[in-house]
Amino acid sequence: MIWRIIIKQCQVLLRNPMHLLLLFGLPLLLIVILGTALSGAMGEDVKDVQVKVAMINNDSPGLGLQQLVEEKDVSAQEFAKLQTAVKQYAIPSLLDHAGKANATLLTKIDDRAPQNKQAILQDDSYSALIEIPKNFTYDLLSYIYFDKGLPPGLQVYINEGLQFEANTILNLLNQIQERWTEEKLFLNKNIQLEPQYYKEMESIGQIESMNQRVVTSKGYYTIGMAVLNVLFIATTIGFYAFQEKRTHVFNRIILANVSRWTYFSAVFISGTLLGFIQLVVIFGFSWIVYGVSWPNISAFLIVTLLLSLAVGGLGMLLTAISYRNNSETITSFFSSVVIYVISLLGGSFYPIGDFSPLIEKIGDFTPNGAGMSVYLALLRGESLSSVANNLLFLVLFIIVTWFIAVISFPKRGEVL
Amino acid sequence: MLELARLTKRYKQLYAVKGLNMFIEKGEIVGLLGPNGAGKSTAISMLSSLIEPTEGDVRFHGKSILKSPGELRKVTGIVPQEIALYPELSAEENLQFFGRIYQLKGKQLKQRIEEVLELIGLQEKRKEVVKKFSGGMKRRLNIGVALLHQPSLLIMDEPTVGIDPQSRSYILETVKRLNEEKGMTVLYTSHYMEEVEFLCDRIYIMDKGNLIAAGTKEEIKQILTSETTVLIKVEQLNEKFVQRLQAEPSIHQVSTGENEVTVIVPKEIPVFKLILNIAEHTDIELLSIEMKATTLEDVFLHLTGRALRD
Repeated sequence: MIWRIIIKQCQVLLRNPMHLLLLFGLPLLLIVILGTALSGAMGEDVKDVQVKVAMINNDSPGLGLQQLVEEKDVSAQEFAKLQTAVKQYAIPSLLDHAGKANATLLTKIDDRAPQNKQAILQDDSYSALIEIPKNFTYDLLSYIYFDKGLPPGLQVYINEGLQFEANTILNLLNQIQERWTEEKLFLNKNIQLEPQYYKEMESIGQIESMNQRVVTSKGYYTIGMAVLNVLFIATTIGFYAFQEKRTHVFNRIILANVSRWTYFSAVFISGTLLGFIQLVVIFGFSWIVYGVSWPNISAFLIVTLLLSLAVGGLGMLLTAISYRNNSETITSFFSSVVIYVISLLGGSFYPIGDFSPLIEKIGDFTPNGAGMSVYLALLRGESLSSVANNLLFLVLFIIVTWFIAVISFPKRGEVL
Repeated sequence: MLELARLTKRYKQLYAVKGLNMFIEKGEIVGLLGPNGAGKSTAISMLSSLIEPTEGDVRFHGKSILKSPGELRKVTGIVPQEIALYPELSAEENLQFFGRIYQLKGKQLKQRIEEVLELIGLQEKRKEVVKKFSGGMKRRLNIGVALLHQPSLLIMDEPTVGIDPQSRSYILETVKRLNEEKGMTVLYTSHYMEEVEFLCDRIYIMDKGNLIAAGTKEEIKQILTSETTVLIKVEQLNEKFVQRLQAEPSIHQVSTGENEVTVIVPKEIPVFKLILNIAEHTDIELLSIEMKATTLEDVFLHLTGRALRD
């Protein structure tokens, strides 16, 4: 009997093109619009910067080091330190590191002979030409370790036609020079530098260093729109159920000796089933069109089922209250106000929780917010145990909605 | 078969139905008459076990159904006043759904759907969605759904409200046929006197939650044996004429229509002379004065002082 009522609910929904469009078409459209429009706000409009740099090296690091050793009479320990420094301060190496460490900067360094200088300057494919002067290594080591002279200058020619790329290189070189000064200062004050200092230096401009998968704006808004729109399944089910009361179809069902609890359970299962289908359609669309995939499918299905059960519970609660009040005001209020408020708190429109931990906490106490947190964690590759609190909240939400719905649903003789 | 004893439904201080006593025998068509708000639908909801009475009892074959209404529900078909159907589904899909909830399956369900569609004359429209139906077609399907499980008791709550005369006549003929051919017991509520007069063996008349008359059509009409109903048609009705009629002590009831007035007067009164006299004094031009045969409408007017459709 329950199954029969569920099939009928699905038939009624299928015959309502407007409801179908709102429940299944609109979320997909919103994912496309928001995912594209707000990708910049989520750091996705930073394009890869491809920089091709030519380098003419007039320096001979080995000779520079030897000259310094002869002049300063350094110990074996100091010699080893200077040898390391020579490698560390080599400009090609520093630029290469900076480029590799920066997800958006792709550097290609061509080591060219001095006689090619004019040809390079005529070649528009290069963003910049860096000419390393004679005695660069000698001057640099003298400056940093022996407090002698000034830091060596670099001759840099920039391609004004590739202004952005050229500026990127200039910025990197400035940062490198600032580090030399800092290092000299630390050494003068006898401050031992930690290895981490060098590591940081290698990752100038780095924006992403986590081992987790990155959640793209498309992925984010797929989740945001899914957890928002699935709530409309609950209100649609509540609306259909109240229509059955208003048109006395419910009375007809009761007079056919169908228990009100059978009907009530059918409302719950219909909401759960349609919620599950809607979520699968939305996530399926996102997977096919945007490649938003889930590292752990079984965890994804468990969460989707839990969220669907919460939607079923909510649909049942709205039905019970509207039957009790003999009015669909509660369902209308929920669909026109409450859903949008809790979706805002839950982060469906924007990761609002990033601005306030309090809002993030409040958002987690909504079914959509809890669902969103769990989905985001799963998409980042985290395990279900890392979001146990959110899962527990969803389970409690299902139990509480069931409980309130059961005590609110009018008993025999109270419904007309 | 079915008995209502002192059935009362009270909402706070308001009595929707007060101390209703009524019985229905197997195979008869019983009419429950009354204007809108008389308490007919509340009475039907109580006797069909949808709502619990504040006081009193409903007995089906001598057993109270208040605690266990299952037996009564199995053999009862309810035609609500509202179109209790799914407008998005076709006639056939509606019948399939309601048939299934009445535990009909497979061949039996298919056969019953065919029979019902034929009975209500909607075979040709079976695949059409209900929201495209005319009012009369919806009403017929509304009745068809109640007949699917072959009930022995059919309760019809104003089944002809808002439909065209053709559909209305079709429905009345169908009910009559069901009663005559299948021996179906029918409780028929309406505020259309002519429907009840056409269909019913016995009649209960309700007003403001109270039962004000009960009996066969003839018994009820007997209430007016000492009085006569007179229909006065005039050229242009005026307020003065109506006021003079109402003020006349020998005239019991006055009800007005468009350029016509119905009055109930004792048989011994010289009614023509009286009316001519009042017309002369109120500048009214009379078109006709007609002595009417007593109708249930007249009885209702006599009992309540109001017309049924007031």
